[in-house]
Amino acid sequence: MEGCLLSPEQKAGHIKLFLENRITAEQLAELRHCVNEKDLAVIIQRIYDLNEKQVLDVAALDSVMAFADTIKNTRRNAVFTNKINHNFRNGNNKIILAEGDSWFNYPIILSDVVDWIAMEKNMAVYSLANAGDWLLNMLHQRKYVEDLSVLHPEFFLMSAGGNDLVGKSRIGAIVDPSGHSGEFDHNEFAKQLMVKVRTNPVVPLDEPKFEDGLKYLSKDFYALLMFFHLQYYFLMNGILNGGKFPGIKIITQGYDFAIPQHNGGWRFNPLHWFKPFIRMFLGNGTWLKTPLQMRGILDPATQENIVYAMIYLFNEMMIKTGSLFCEMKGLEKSVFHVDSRGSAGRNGWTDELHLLPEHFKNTGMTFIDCINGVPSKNGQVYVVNQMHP
Amino acid sequence: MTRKITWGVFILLGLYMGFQAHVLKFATCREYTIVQLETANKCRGQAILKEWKSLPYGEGTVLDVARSNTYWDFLFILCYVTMIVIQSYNQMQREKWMFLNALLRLNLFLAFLAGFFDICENSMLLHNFSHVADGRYYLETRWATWPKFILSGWAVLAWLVSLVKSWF
Repeated sequence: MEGCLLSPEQKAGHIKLFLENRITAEQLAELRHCVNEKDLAVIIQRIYDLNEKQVLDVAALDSVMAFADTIKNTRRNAVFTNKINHNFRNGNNKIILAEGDSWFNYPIILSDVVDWIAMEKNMAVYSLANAGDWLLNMLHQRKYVEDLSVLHPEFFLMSAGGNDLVGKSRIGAIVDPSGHSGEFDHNEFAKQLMVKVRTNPVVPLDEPKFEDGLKYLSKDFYALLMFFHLQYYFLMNGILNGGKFPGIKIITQGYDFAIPQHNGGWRFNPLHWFKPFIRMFLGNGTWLKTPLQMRGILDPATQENIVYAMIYLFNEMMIKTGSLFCEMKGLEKSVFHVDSRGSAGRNGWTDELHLLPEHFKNTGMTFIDCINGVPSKNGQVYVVNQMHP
Repeated sequence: MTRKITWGVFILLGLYMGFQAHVLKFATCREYTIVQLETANKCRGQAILKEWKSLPYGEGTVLDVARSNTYWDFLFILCYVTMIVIQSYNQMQREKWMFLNALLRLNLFLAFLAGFFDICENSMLLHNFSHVADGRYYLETRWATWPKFILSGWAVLAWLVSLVKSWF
């Protein structure tokens, strides 16, 4: 583990370059070792053009959602406690702490990823996940820190970043509607991610889609991508190198290629009866489609390609961040990534952001394989389409 | 906690409404039941109501028992809809077989639909209780009764199958 080698002036300079999307990969690596919570707060305020309070207000959960989340977590955590009360912690049984967003806690109707994991007899899952939660909020509240200390889980599962990208119409602020953005070429970090993809892709790349999407990603997207990298690095580093949780393993996930749409989902299928209701009442179209339309990006194919490029890069960033720890001595098998890209296809969605339960199940089963130590042909990365096609 | 309270209210209500059903059944020599009234056609329904109205019970008539039973049924509807939702949801959290998991999810919708039909049925029954003397205003309730029984029966069956399966 390297320490910070930058002076305060150098750090400020690096942050400036970071925000201008002109930072080199080497400078980003230097910055990675130096950032603290204060720096992260400064960066996000600059990306979102808000003050600290406004940023936290934007990221905070709304009260109705928080109530529904609490109901689900209370039930789940009662099941967890019941397992523990029956001397669960022995042999091959696993204690798992889950922190995340709606992929880990979709209130009531859908069986989300954590629901499927918690069904396993040898797994007891304690959930802190909240639908609509932002990574920023999770890091600020630090609930996981307290529960890590209390539970000492074998696995820490994370699903975060989606709401920071698309919550509260943020996607509209990180696109360039001109379609002539050259910001990818200025971002060494993203370019390096794609060099690896072009030689040895974990998930096949649809080059025309990706290239078209890139033309619409503004410098703020890349700042956010690198910001996620710093946040996840900061979080993982605290857990893995803090010395308090030896042997703990972290598993992340990076969503699937969402499709911007307003479609009401009224096609008759009794087993998917909830689709039209969820789409009608729970914000379908407001995360992706409407903000892109608001910025004048009206072509559905272009909208889809923008999200494709974002999700592709987001997953590659997650894989890269995890791999940095796997290169450290003693942490070789400490970070894993479950890759859901392409697993749901076009018709596997409940709404713009959430999979149908059967696809959440596939992602959940892949987490289960990872937790049970089933080998993946991609090393630390477990591709849902390969594990559970 | 919600589950325990709902179970408690459900059992108490079931006992009290069962007692009322017993009174209704044995008040007449033809032993008409509330279910027979719910599924009756116009002629038979009117005959049952007329008979109940003609028989004294306490300070009123047997029809007042049927009316009271129908009012209590609104609370019973709330109870069984809540119970189907809670039990199906809890079982859904254990059911790994996707098809059964989806059926349990469908129960969340079917429970409300069954409750809706039951409310319609009760409203029509109350209407009929107020118009016993004039058969022209009688409303047949069986179009709401059968869907109610089929939907709630299906929901309970799916839940039971999943529950029994989970024991093995």
